Amino acid sequence: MTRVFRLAARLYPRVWRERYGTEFEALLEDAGLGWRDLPDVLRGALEMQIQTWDFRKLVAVCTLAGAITAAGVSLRMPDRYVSTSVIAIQPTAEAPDLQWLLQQALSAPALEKLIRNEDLYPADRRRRSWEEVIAQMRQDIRVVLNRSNGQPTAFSVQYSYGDPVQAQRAASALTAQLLDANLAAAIERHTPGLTLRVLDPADLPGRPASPNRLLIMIAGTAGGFLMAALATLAMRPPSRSTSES
Amino acid sequence: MSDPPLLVLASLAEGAKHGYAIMEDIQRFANIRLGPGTLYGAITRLEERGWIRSVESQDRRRPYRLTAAGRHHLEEQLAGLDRVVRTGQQRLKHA
Repeated sequence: MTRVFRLAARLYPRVWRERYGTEFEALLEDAGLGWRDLPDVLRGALEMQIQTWDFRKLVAVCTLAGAITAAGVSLRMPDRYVSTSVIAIQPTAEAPDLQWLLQQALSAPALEKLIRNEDLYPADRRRRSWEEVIAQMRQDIRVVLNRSNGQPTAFSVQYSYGDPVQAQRAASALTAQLLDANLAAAIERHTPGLTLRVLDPADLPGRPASPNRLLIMIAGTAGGFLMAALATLAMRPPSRSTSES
Repeated sequence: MSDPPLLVLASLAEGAKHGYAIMEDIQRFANIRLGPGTLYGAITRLEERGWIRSVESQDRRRPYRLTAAGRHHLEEQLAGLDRVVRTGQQRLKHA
């Protein structure tokens, strides 16, 4: 054990060892150390090493550490694919409004049926309640309205999922649910309903929309640089007192 | 209260001690066991600030003592802590 601690003590900077090395080794022998003390000695060595680094070395190490951490984090983040369909809309008199249609198409029973049919969120369905899974799916759906002269002319239905084929299938199903809800409302109300026409069917996304790994890497690198700057400020020793007993 | 430099200063207020003696003393009066890395990190910083100074010794175990600046700093820190303790106790009485 003492040998391990002696080796750990060699990780301290040479200048520090020249000043404190002998007494530090004496302490390591006297204190009857166990494995739980090893992290403390290693942390101390790292702290002392950092204090000997100049700004350039600190920036290089922190920036590299930030970039590597960001790369690790971004690689652990799952890819998300977004499939989009575009529907042209032409309102007619007495037609149900789009908001009502969306409520029907995105209702809990409608989404539950879609999740079951397309076998979406299998892991979430094992761990979480249906309410939570449906709420998750609502977060993954985005409806964007296009307007011209204040009037809605088209809207896109976007669905984000981890698998591109399932994203496309679910976006297609959501589009179909909207069209069905419009038709059902028209029949029930004996009105013509909205005139909806699929301009672009749900596409098969070729590449993930997120995560933006380059952006995460840049943020990690910038974070590392910032940490180096803050560490430099924090480690700047205060003016040494000259008074002595 | 687990500020290693302050604990080291408080230990040395009694008189000069080497590293292991400081470690034992802190364990005794504060019931806190400082690891060797933490203890010597604190000693290094305190010496850099001029708050402690090593005493000449032939032994491998080099003792340290408080300087006047270190004593002044310790007094200030303890006065601040004392204010916090007294305020807390008074407020607990009236709570």
